Amino acid sequence: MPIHRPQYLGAFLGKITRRAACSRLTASRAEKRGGGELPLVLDELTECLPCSPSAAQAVEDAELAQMVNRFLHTLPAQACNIFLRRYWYAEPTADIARRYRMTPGAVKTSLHRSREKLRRYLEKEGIL
Amino acid sequence: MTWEERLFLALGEADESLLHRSQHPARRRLWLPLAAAAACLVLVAAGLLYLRQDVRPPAPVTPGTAETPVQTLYLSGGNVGSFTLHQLRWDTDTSADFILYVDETHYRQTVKDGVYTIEPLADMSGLPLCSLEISHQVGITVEDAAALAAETLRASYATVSEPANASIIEGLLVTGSNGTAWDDTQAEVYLVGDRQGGVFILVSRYFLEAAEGHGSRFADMISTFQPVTAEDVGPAWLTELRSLGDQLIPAIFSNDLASVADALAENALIDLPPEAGLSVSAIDYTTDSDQIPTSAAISVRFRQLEDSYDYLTIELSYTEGRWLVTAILLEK
Repeated sequence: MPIHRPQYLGAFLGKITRRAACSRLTASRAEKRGGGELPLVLDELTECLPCSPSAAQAVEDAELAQMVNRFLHTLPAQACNIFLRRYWYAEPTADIARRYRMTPGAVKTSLHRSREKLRRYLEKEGIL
Repeated sequence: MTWEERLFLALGEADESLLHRSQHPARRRLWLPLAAAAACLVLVAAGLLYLRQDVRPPAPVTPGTAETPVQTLYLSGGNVGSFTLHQLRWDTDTSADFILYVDETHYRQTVKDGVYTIEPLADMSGLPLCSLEISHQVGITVEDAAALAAETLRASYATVSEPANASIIEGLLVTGSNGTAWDDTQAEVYLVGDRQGGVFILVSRYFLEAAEGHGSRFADMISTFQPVTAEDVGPAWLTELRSLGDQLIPAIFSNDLASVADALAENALIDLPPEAGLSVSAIDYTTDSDQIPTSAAISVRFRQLEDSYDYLTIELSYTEGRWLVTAILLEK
């Protein structure tokens, strides 16, 4: 356990797990293995690419993380929840719909709108 | 590393408070707010759209049928036909009630011996029974009711399933079948808790050839079934949201947005569904907060005849004390 006790232990441990999973995904993609939700999630996130890919590359990873975090705080609570379940937890949309007692269509619509908002947000933040 | 992978990793640094919040469903089903005298129970809609209007005196009970009094509220929904709201009190002590959407252009409703029954308007003489019946039992668990339902079905059906979780509604399902010939009778029994220690029993009966017609329409209606209790009272914004939904849904499905123009935000994005012959199987209301909402979405699942489902999503924002529609989106 870290010296500073995390306020949300579940999320803290989840981050460690997620980083490990990302590393394994990078390795497995290098071996041309695939499957599961992560490839779908990454495919969906392509829509959030700002108009200038080269400018996007110029943004440091830490700066990008801060931008995304600020963006998440602009979303309504439910839209943010759905967005994180999909793109942080890589949860299937059907499971998200069941979790929040929504229709899958409403979940997909919410995700689509949030991705669009993220793209516009990143453009507005200077990734032109 | 690709852009999307960088974005995915950047998302990984999201605030833990946001992650913690997403773990716990913030949404709850938004019950129709119940005034003391208007415990809305059964919402009957021609063309599956509904619009609330004022209450008229109770309709007379059909002689020789129900002992339970039925109060009928006559409603109208623009050009899409007439609507009827029934109020049923199953037990005046527990006041276990429900909401249900019914297609009045194809079905009629009666109450016989305490059983609410929906039957096709079309002449079914010479054909096996097709009906949807809803009854209520107090003081029994859903599991016990399901076991009893299975035992009861075994007396009339050759094959009976074990109770299992229903997919279209929160509850258990037991099915019965008398075979695979076109006129072999089938039954689906849904057991749904009434939130007060009792059970609603929804029985769908049809013959095999009617599975994709009446059978699927009964399933759609069952999907809209919601138990409510007299303690479900909503705040003003919830009443306004449901009231606006009552106006919006018929207006959208009849392509008559002029009647709800005041509720549309400037530059609202609008897709309109096709008209006529629609079967609505679910209407969900979600908000970003149960306390002080700033946005909401009304999701309507519908289909034409036996096609696959389409979804209509109405997005709203709550500003200056009123709801405004910011988008009406169709998704197939």
